[in-house]
Amino acid sequence: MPEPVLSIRALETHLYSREGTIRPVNGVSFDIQQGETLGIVGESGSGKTMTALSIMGLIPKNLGGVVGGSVLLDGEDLAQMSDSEVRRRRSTKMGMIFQDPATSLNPTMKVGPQIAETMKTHLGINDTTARNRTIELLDRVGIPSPEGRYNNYPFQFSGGMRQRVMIAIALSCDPLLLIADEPTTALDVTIQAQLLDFVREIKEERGMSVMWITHDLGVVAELCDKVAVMYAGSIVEKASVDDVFARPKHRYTSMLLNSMPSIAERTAGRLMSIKGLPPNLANLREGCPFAVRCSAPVDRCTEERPTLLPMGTEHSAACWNPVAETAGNGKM
Amino acid sequence: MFVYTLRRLILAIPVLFAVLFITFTLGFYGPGDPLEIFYNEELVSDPEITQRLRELHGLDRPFWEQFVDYFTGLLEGDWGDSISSGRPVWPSFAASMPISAQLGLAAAVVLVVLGIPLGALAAVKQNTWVDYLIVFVSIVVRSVPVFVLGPMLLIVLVLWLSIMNVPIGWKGIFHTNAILPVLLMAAGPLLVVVRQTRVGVIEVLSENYIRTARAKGMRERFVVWRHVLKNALTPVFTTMGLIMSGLVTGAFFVELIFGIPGFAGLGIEAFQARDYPVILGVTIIGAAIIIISNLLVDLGYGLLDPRIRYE
Amino acid sequence: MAESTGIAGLEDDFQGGKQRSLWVDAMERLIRNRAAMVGLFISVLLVITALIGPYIAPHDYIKTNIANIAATPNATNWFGTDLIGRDIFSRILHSVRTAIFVVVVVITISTILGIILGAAAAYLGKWVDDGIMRLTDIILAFPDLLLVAFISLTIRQPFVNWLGTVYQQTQWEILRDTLFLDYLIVFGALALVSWPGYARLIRGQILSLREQDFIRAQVALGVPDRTIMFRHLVPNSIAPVIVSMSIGIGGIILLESSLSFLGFGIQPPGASWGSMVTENLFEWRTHPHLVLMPGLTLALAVIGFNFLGDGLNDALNPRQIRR
Repeated sequence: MPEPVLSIRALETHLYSREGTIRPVNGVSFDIQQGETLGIVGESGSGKTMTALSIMGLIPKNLGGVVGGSVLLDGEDLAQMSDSEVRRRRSTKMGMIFQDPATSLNPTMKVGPQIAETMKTHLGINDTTARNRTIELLDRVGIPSPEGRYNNYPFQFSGGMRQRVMIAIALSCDPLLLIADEPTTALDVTIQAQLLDFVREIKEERGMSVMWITHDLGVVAELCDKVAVMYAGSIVEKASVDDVFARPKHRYTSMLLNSMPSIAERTAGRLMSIKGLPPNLANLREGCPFAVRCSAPVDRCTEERPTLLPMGTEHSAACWNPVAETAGNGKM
Repeated sequence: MFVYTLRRLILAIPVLFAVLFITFTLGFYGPGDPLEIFYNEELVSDPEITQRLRELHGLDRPFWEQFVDYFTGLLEGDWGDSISSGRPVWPSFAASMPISAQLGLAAAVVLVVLGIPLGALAAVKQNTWVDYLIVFVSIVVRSVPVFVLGPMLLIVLVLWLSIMNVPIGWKGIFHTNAILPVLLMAAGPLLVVVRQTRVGVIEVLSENYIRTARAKGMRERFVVWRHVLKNALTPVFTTMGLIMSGLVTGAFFVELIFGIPGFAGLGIEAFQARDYPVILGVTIIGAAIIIISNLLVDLGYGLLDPRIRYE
Repeated sequence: MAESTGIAGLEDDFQGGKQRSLWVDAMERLIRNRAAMVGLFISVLLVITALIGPYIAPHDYIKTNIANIAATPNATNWFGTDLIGRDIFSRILHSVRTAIFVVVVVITISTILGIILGAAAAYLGKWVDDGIMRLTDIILAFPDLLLVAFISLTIRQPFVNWLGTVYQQTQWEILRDTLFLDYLIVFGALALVSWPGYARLIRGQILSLREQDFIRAQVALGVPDRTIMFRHLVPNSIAPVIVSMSIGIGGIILLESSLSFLGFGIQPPGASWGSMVTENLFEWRTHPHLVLMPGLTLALAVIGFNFLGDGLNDALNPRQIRR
């Protein structure tokens, strides 16, 4: 097996707050191979975004930071690097797009220069070259009449168009890895579909790896090769997309799947909802953090925290009472 | 942008007119019979002379007529005659205004050069001792009135440390005598500039597009210069009226303390001598300065924020 | 749900963080802010001085003593004496009373005026809103010191005349007290320039709160206007008003002193910080303590109020300052 583009081991991130230290990322490990798309799934507050920001080194110093583990990107450990070394790898090795395209672009700066300045920073090219490349990029991400659009302000773009501009920024220096943090959540369904198609296309064209954060399992099914399910700062299940949908092992995963509406099963009755709230990350108790909301907890769940255990080829789950094979994906 | 500019201009005119009207009315009814202030009591007690004087000064006419008269006079640059000197008011305004304007401009430069970087530094170093020190010092400076700070500085610098001579009088803005007055004028509004810059920068630093700029791998210096400052200065801009008001107030005391023959000093003399035509003029011009600077702020918004420009 | 797990001890996981009210939170933040505590200490000290100052003053504050003029600070006259031999410390104690009195009255009047007019503008809209807002535009167009000076200069004579007429009808002696007159004029002029700030603040608060989802939800639920007003709009606008009141205190003390400086404030022999500095402004070379003593105490007082105001601002706007 070739060396993965991104390899994370036992990543731990702390945030400091008045109520004590919060551990939004608590021992996360995963790999992304070249050209592979990994979906990271979980509820709000499960640590998906914090994992991404930890990789990018974008957690503000006064709020907290990575305290343990390694982040190997293209064979180099970002966790051991100085700030400026990490900075030089942003855009060139990893690019990121964010959830809210409406606020992610500088409102008082023209769109073109916002893309061009990225290339000028990292590629050492002059203004004219940067401008020409930016116009090519705008064209590539599907912005009509890119020459004219170069001098427009973000507020003159629609939400979908702004997200395309964000993608253009992220792709401008040809990174190995694209991290996408729920980029389609704020968009209309049709725009969302266009954007997904586009990302898939560009990924194949460039052989880029993608880490796609979402809470939308539909997007995962459409776009990803592998899935990691996060809960309370940890990965609770890792598998290929097919395995996760057909044979979820962790109770949380299966409950997530059951809470997903599907047109084919419209008549099957009520959707399952997962009761309760994710736990307080400042104060995790012993045992499985999901135990309190779980449909089938056993005594061990409150005593000992489960670790990821192999449940098949390239399939692992952190559960003391995994879903039995036969239970499958049926409504419970 | 043109329509926007025009609309702002049209909105400012009624305010200016109202200011004019209110000051004139108060000045008209306020002091009682102007003749009693103009001349001594013996003259005024003779009814015949009084009548002649009234006609001479046009005081026998109704209020409205006098207001229109004053107003048209202003349009022609005639601000009436000073009571104490008997000479037209305008030439003394014209002579003193450039001095105050130079002081004000120099103080504004100090505010920008000192206030904005300090505010930005405090924001970037938020909740560290640098931040606390900057905020602390600017609150202290703001809390000491100019008429206390001025003499105190003089006592320390001239009497105790003897590092300068008594810097009294006006020898041009580039003379060392101007240093203390300019710094003192800037002292009052400094806190406003520092605080607004600090809040603005803190707010912008938490915006998503700053995270984007960092995710792009921009150097922190570029992030602050290119992405933060322009967006953060808008709140500083909104307080321009307050800052101008502070500068005008500062000018009053500074010009008195340092014996500078400026416009505000002229105002103080007029207030002390109850010289109404001069007081009226000073008050109206003072208000006009703030109205005009607020107008400039509105226009500046258009330049800073493209959304307004394309409205 | 929790019970259905049948596993004891998991329930309290749901409670998350302790529920705390905004005010408790704010109080805690304020107490941890050292500068604000110093400010609070100075402010409380000033209020106490205002209440008991004249009774603990070591000397008579208006008694002159030609044999003992311009004495530098010593054991008898702690802050020295002025050019006609009055005890500066005693005069300062009296000017604290004047200053606090002015602050309390002016802040009260202008806050009440501001709340009423601001709420009226926001609630009634249309021409009421336009009228009130244009009025604030006009008042805010003046440099505040200039307007206060101009007002106290021009309304004095008409006011004296009017009070004279009232006196003839009522025979109330107080109406002929010039100190009382000084106070009334200072109050009036200061309140006049202060209320527009509060009115705009309140109006802005109410307008922006009304657009918020939780208020819209109340309206949609058919909650009566009065209930919305008093249970939601007012409590939610009160924090910024408190902040702006506390920040305004320093400003009013400065304005009152400046007014005295220009000769329009409380007239002698009433004691005012501003006039104590001004009377002796040009003595700084020969008798520095005449300027330093009242000047430094005045500065200390304003610093105290400003620190308190700043601390309250931090404490009540957690979102803005501490992330």
